[in-house]
Amino acid sequence: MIGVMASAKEKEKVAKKDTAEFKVGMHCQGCVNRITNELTYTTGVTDLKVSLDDKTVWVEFKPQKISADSLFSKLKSMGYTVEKKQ
Amino acid sequence: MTLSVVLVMWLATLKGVVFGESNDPIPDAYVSVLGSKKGAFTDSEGKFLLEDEISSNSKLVVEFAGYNSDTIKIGNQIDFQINLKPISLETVTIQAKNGLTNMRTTTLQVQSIGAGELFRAACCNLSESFQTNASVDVSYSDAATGAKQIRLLGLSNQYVQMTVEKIPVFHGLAMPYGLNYIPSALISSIQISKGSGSVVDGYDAMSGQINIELKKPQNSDRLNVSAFIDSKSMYQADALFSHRFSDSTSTLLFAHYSDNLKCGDENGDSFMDMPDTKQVNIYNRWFASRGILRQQAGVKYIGERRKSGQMEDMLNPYKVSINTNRFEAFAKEGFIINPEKHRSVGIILSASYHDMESNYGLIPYDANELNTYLNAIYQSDLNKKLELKCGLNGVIDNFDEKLNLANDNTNERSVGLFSEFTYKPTKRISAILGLREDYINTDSWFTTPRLHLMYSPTEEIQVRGAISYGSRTPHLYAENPSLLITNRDIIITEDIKREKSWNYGVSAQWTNDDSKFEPSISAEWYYTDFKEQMLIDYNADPHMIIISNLDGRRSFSNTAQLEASIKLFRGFTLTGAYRHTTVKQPLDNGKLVQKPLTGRNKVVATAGYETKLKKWQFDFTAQCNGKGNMPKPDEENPLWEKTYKAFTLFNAQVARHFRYLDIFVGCENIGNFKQKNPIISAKEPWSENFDGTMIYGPIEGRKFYATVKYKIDYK
Repeated sequence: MIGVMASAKEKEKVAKKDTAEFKVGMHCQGCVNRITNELTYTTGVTDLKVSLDDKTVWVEFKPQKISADSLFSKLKSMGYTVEKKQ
Repeated sequence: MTLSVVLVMWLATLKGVVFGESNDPIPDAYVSVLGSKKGAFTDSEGKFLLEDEISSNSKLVVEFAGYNSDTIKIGNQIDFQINLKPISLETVTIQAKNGLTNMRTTTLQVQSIGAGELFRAACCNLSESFQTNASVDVSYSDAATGAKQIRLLGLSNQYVQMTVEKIPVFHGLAMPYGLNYIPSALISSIQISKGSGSVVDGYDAMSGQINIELKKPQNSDRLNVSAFIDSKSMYQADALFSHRFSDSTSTLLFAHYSDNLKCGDENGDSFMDMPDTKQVNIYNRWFASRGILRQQAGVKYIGERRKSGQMEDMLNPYKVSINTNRFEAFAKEGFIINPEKHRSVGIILSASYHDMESNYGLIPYDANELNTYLNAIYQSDLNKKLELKCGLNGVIDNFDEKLNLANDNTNERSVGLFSEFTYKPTKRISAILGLREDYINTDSWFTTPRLHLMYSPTEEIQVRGAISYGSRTPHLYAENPSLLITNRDIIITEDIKREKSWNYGVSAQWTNDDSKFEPSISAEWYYTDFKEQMLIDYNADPHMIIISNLDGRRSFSNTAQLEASIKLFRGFTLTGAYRHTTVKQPLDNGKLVQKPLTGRNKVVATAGYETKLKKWQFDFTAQCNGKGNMPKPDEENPLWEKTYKAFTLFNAQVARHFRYLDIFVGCENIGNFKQKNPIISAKEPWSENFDGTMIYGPIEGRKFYATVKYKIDYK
């Protein structure tokens, strides 16, 4: 019984996804394309929305593969002004 | 001695507040120094604090969704109070659906095909870029040469002005094969404009304009290589390389090669189903900007060897060979005089030399064409509601043709003046009135008026209307080499005049961005009324083709189209379109009849699905082409049917995208539909009944293909 519960919890942990939203200083469609290309193929990212109008990047990810802080650092390392959205 | 100015930079702390309408502070607005990667977002009170290096010329840029961005000279100021204005209709964001966009802010009706739409189907070159598009038909001109023609509003490609970045191309000798001269790997986007377009671009768009934007060195991939192969043994390789020397200077180099591993005769009529075509295409372009000056220049070479006809094992085979060398060059200079008043001067220069040596059976046809083009445009806002474009245009077109049937050695020179006013009295109404006056040495002075109107009662609805005039000089054999793939007698009854037409059109579109389904519907009607036209009559006699002028008789095209699109759920989009076309000419001894080989009805339906991160894409297209008339057969000995039946073509493609790699696998013409007997008397090509010009559908059957692309972005 305990073994079954642990397995179910592990499955729940694996299935869990987190989201994070960032304000990113994007200037043009080129920035959108760059960010989209980079994050789409980042391990752990499962969904992504990049808005030039709102200057926001919304990411859905698997927390066991990548963290919100790693995504923040990745965007900063691309040279953009980034702030976490509350 | 060279004098150079060095700008002194210093670290500054800039602060301020950003307000919107009614002086409400705007949180999360983005503030940056123009050209700097640093920036800051405003807080909940609209305040910002930004530390960055500036000079005496630096400007502060403030942006926020739904508002027009503002650019302010910093000077000695460090504390700012900025008021942003809400966005106007002119700057409404254009919604892209899978890369196909019906432009909502333009006065002219323009449909833009972006990269996403281009690669929803097999796309080797420009001729295959319209497979999911209901407005443009692409078909083979004949059963032997592989020449393709476009139809827009039911009218064939001589009435469509083809431009590459607003430079006219593919007229005269290049027209029959021009669609194959632009590999898809070089295309950035395509704009389709129905009706006669702007007077700025010339006088010869009679049914519409198709403008191709190529990839540009200042925003292209660093490297992009692709390879294509299909089950009919055609293969193609493309390589593009770009280099940015600085932010202001960049170059792009492109090379293409295509060939066939083998050519077969699957329908058993003794003729190759598709020509054996080898093409080399090399292109180099440059971009430079210095202050108010923007410069572009490029050169291109296309070499093509095309062989078709009967298979080698025939006794005394009928053979077609077309050898082409084409050189192109262009230069564009743009001077931005006053950006606030949109005041600028642009000069476009282009030149092309096209040399062709060909044989159609026993008929040699050699020709060359030298074309030079100049367009100088001045544009400026006259006030807040009125904009002016005016300029000067000149074309030299030297045609030298050697053909034992008739020679066309026209040396055409034209010069023209044009002016165009764009009037926008309110956010929701705009009008463009254009007028040009041209002189052609082969004719005389002529006037080209054009009027375009747009009314947008709400942000979701646009209604457009247009009345426009167009004219052009026809070249019989250069633009219709398929006439040589027949043993009919060609009778030219008189000197052929310049073609002229009036085009009338209305359209309406509705798009709902707020709905999660993103529905859109568009409806349009266009009528093209020819005042003069070169008639090519296959109907009067099954053993003749009679060439004559319209001379006051009636000839028209009447097209109505309805198109709808909806996103059923995230990633899945359905599009459907129906088009009805009536094209009537006085063929058949002066009787007004539907033009042969032009179906009246067409339905196109597409379904596309892409996964959340767009790593997988699935596309399916069905095209149903309605029945139509064939040219009249001989009544005593009919060698073909009077009509052809409706037929449907299905295409499907799966794409997988990786970080640096894209793979496309698909099938064209899944149902394997082929036109039966595309060549009349194929096994007796020297008989009087031989005719390879009556093509209404695919000659090739089902075709599987695969494309692999590797790309490296510019970091």
